[in-house]
Amino acid sequence: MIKNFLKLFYLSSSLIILAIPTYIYAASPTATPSATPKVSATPTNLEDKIKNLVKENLSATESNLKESINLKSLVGYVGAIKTISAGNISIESDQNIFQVSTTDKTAITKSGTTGKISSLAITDKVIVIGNLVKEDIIQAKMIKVIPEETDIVETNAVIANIYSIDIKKKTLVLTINKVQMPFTLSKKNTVKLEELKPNQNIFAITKKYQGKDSLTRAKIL
Amino acid sequence: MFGINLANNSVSNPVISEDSTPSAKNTTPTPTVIIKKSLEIIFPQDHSVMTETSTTLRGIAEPNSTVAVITELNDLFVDVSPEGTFSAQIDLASGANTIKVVQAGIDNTTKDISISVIQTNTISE
Repeated sequence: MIKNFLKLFYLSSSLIILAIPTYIYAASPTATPSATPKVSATPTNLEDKIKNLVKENLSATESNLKESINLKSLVGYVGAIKTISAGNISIESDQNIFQVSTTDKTAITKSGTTGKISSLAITDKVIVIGNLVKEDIIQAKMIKVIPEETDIVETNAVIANIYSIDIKKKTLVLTINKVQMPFTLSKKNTVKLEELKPNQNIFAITKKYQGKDSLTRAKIL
Repeated sequence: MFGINLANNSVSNPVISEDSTPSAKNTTPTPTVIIKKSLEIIFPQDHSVMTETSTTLRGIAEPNSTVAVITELNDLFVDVSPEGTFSAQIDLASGANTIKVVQAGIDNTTKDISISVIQTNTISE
């Protein structure tokens, strides 16, 4: 038994010893050297075209990236002009006062025409686009005077309870904050009155225009 | 960025529900943690400037609630995912845009948030 085992051991050992050099031989660098790529002495038109295309692509990508970085660093505020002084204005936006400084590159437009800072007036409603150099200082790239809106449509979303529905008249009365309010349906509404029932709670998107309330969207809660 | 904000929010605002009172039967109580996410608009940023005429509004809100998205050109309902995220394709009007999101919570209360975005085609160098 032991003899057999020893025989087997010697056999396997010799096989391993034989196998090692074979492996080494196989790994030895006997392969023929690969062909070196041929480089043409004179650049072809195709190469020039490719180079030009790459250059064009690079510059286009560069300008796109610059534009993207520029856009990300820009801020835009809407407000009313409070003060005007040499080269600077201040605006009130969302109850905050911002100092807006301008340069000769700042584009100022009023009533669709290019203007100067002198063309601006106190209480003008403006859009200021520029860089926020401090928390309340904007270096303006663009100042645009926009018209004051007169007929504002107020859109809101509220939770309401349906008090009554008149499918023929296409009206309904909603209870909002314990107050009953009549609603018509707005022009572009998606409300299906036949699917609604009194006492249902709905999430409603409403519009108020010239004192009249209308319903534009309704979702049963 | 969105993922980081989401993760930070989840960690910073965990609210343990009333269900977390230890049960008499259980020797080792396992509190149920309900993540209540505050209403937030992730994109676009407030006071940002965009050249695109439409964009994807993204935000976080109470999971499984509904939000109403109100813009100058659109008003729509959007369902909030169980993870508390929502998104909606919105159009931007030229000039100033106010984007308002109103959340109708499961407890029938509303919460809202507004941002301002400027859309312009030209920006001087």
